[in-house]
Amino acid sequence: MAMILAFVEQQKGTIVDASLEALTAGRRLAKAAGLPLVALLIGADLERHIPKLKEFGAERAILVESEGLRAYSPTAYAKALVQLIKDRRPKVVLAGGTALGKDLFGRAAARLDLGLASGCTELGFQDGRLKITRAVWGGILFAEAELVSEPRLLTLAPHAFPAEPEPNDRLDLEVERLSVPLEEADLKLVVRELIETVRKGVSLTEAEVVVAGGRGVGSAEGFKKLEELATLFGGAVGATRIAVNNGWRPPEEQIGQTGARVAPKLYFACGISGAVQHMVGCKDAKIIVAINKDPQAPIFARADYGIVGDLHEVVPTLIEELKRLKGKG
Amino acid sequence: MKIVVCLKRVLDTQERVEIAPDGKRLVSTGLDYVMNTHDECAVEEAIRIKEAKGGQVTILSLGPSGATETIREAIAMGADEGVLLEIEGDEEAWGPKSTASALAQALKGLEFDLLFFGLESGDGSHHQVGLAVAEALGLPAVDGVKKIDFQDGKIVVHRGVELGEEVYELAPPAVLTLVDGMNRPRHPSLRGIMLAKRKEIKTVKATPREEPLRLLQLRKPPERAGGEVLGEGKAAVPKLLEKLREAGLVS
Repeated sequence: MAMILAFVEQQKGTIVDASLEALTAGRRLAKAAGLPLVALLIGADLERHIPKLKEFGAERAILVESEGLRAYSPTAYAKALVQLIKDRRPKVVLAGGTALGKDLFGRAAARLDLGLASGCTELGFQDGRLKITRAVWGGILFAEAELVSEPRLLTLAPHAFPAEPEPNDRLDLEVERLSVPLEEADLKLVVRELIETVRKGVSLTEAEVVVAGGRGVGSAEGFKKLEELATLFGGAVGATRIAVNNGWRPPEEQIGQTGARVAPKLYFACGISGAVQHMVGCKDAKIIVAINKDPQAPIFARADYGIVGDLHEVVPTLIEELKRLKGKG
Repeated sequence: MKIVVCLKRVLDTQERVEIAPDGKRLVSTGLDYVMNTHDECAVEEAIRIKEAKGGQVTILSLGPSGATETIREAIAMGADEGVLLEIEGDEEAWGPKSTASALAQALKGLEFDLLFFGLESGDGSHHQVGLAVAEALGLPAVDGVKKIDFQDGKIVVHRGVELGEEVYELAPPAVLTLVDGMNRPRHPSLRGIMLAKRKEIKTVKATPREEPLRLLQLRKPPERAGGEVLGEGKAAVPKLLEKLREAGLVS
């Protein structure tokens, strides 16, 4: 049966945001093509996710449940996905571009010898053909493309399709349960342990305020003031590749082409020149504030507000002022 | 331990990003080619393992003849030998399917315990070649590895995920795709550079297959609109606070 199939990922009992984005993108494609949106979940204890799937407009849910699928096993999950794609021949199969989504779809595309468009930022049907726009060059360019193999496999770029519940309440949702015979070889590769990152504050990608520093910060010590500013906003610290390569900040904090993509309400770019390789990581911020000594720095052409000056003076002053305001309040 | 590292050269876009008139490539005139960022970390990791445990590091790259220079860079860092799968004709005809097929074919003739890739290329960003090669060779693979340990003949790897790190255990031969940031790649030594210059790079011709993903055209994303410079130095801080207050970000 023709369908748009959205792979839905859950972590620690909750559907991840990237999958809500995939359901949103999938629902739009399904409406444009006049096809049902079907959600595919693989794992254990999946029943509890049904209300969320309804909320996001899935018409049907396929649950592939087994105790062996409780922890992520790249090989077993790939087997389940591949078998389902073979059996149902959906028009489009899509997933959020998470670590799991990219891993799973990379394997499925290889096993099925199908094309895979990763990092999709825009999708639309035009005269029955699927028009795809992908983020390439780490996001500094878009590529308009088409997939000539079917089913079409897609993973989405983060933040490209903001999650939106279906406005009309869907009361009915057909649930189908499937089992996939798993042999020992299929479970050869399985997560042995998940080491969760212990965060002092909010995570970089979820923070509403990000205080990022680059070359101009000058040292690991220099980041102390940026940390203080971030704490005042309940936000997180980010860094450019240069700051990370210099050992001033850990790689987890890198923002840009080979690092994280963030979309906070407020982004401070301190001592950051504004190279396109960094800007792809923060361009979705609502407000960018640039603090830089060099009035010619490209960051001033991209930031909403700029202060030309030494960040080692401006940031402490900003901190003092904010503390004073807080004291008053 | 024998390690093969697959790497790609990419255009260094730090200076300029200009789309060619045909809309399908970047203007490369005056720009350098550099080793793909993630791949550089894969080379560094392979050399560190060789230094700790002994063995050999072989570089395998697909590209036009000029890509031998990138292979030499890896040799200058400390890799032992290199093989180029040489592309003739239009480089743009090569997508992830062709690349994975050609690499898998070449790898069937090579012996290794570990096969490294960078997580993804900085240009096409398809994120699938390493996994496709693993599938073609029937080898276990972990994607997005940021740490590798060796315990009693087993390889224990940490894969970076949104929540933190997933730990996997696998036995060689295995495929790992590695991420930028897991180490700090060394600069080649002068001696390394001299050695690499003299090294013969084995070259094998490669032909592409049909690609199911067709590029229609490249375009630049809309850039953020230019903003307002509020002033100079700490004197501009009150003005900034006013703006942030208007936006409801400070009280």
